[in-house]
Amino acid sequence: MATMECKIVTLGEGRVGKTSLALKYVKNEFHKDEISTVNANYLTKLVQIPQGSVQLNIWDTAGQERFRAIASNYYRQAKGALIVYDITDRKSFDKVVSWIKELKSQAEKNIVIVVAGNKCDMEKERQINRPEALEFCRKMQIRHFDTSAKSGNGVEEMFMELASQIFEANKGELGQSGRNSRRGKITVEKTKHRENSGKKGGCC
Amino acid sequence: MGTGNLSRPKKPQVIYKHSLRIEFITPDNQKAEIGEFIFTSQRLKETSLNETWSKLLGNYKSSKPIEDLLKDTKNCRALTSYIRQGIPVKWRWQTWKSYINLVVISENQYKKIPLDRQMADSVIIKDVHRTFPEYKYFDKKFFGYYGQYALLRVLAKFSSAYPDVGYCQGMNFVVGFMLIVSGGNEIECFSMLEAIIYHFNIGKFFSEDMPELKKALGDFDISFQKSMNTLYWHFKDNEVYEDMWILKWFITLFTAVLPLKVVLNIWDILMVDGISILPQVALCLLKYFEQDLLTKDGAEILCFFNSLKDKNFNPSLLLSSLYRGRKRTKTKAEGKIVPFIHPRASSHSEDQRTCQPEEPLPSQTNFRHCEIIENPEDLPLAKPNLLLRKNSKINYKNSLSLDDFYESSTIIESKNEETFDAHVILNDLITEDFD
Repeated sequence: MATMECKIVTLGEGRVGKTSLALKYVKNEFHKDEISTVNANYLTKLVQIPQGSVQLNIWDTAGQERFRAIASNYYRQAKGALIVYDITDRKSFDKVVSWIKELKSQAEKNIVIVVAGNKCDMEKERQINRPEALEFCRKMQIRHFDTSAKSGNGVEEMFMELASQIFEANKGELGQSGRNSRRGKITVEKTKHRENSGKKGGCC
Repeated sequence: MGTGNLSRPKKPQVIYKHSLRIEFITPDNQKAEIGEFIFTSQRLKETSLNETWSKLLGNYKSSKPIEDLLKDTKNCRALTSYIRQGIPVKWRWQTWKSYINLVVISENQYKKIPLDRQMADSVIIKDVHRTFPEYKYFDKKFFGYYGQYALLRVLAKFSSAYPDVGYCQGMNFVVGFMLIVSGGNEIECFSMLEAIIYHFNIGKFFSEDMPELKKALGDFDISFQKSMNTLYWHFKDNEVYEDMWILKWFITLFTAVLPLKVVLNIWDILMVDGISILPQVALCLLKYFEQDLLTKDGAEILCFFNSLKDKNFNPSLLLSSLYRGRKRTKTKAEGKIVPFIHPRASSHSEDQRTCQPEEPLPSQTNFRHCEIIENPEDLPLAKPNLLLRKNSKINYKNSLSLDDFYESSTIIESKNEETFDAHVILNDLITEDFD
């Protein structure tokens, strides 16, 4: 069976849990004090969805805006984007709009965007009403997920949804032999399982 | 989860959303020896190094053997080569300082530098507990928030003293690393950060738009292609671009990329040879893993770079090719090392171009006796057994100053295991009268 390889980027303010979400999903790890991300980290995971399999190459970016100036490769050929905000931090939610705008102008046209309201295990400190977030995403025609990297709530579903939406959006390319985009290239499924050789609790 | 609790009354104004969750614990041992935090974590073996250095320093009976050694131009050369082989932990910080001729600002000067509140609130505070959390000094189990506060202060003060540089993620690792190496000497770390950034002229690595870093990346691209053509094109074929990996290596000066054991050796060399060594070290690393890398595709290469920190490799082997084929510069001591002139220390002349330290600075005392933090006696003491109660009545003030962190981070003991919001605790502290 063919595997679709696609790049997705995580975006959002600092300390909202971009790295934690990606790590939870890829390695099922959670560290309360995740090491802060400089520039970006890279993670991969092979996902089986009903339609086929997708290899997600997750490009986990740093929250500080300064890095945007230099890393033009963030969005290059990204098929999907995961915008994360912290439900206990109003400011991080307000930023979501600007991320969407930036993606619309910088990224490829058919990029699939999902929004994650992270840290939903901290319901008590919630500052963004859920209906408000849902309404906002409905207007933007973007799927919204409540996630918690700590408990794992919603993480799996969100990445699955992202994978299958990307698959749908790009299945036209499956037939062709990836002639114009390397990131979207079709490879014969690798027998070797991609495993990061890093030990548990490593850097990321 | 769910949508409930919408009608819940809002908590009183929360000022620091990302405040440190803190319980104050007095460090068991406030006077850490230099490098102790590395020793305890890494168990470095370096007996042979120690022997060499004891011999080398044996001739100098004064209290500052390293400085005497550096003054002795003849031996200075020898020292330079010894430094490149690695410095014993107990001499490392002293040697670094002497070698780049560090001018340490006085405690008063340091205290007077305001904290960049805006930067601290919005960015730095999110990073302080995410910097080397695996090391004892930054681990709240051992040191409470002692190390984290020191880091916060150094970064926030630097940001206000040098607004054109400000704070950039990556600096937290650089300062964190220096705090670990220096035994937690906050003021010296601040001066060292200034020195590194201005002496090596890498302020524009970190500033907005990062022009120097872009240039460095471009330069690296060229030398990478020159020296390792096959690997270079392998990277390009797999769409691995410089800004995806080398940027992080440079901006953290390797501190967040490699095991600290290796970073130490790289910094030893950095002090002697200057910032120009960075790309060469990067090339050494690539050389070291070249065969591995050639078998990997784009995603695997990037994952591999991510995991370098957990790899076990031999620093001397790694750096063995660093000086091979390099012309011996005449004397490393002369002409290369320009003493760093502290921006605020106007009395120093700029003509001196040797590695000799200028006349000893009044503020410098015995270096080997290194305190974690500035003299604790000067800071207000809290009641030693003050127990912080989670549910005590709290009067929220309208704003909290980060200087409160400064004041309160010294000696307050809490036996309570629970974690709190900083602002809650700080208000506790403010409303309680200690005297």
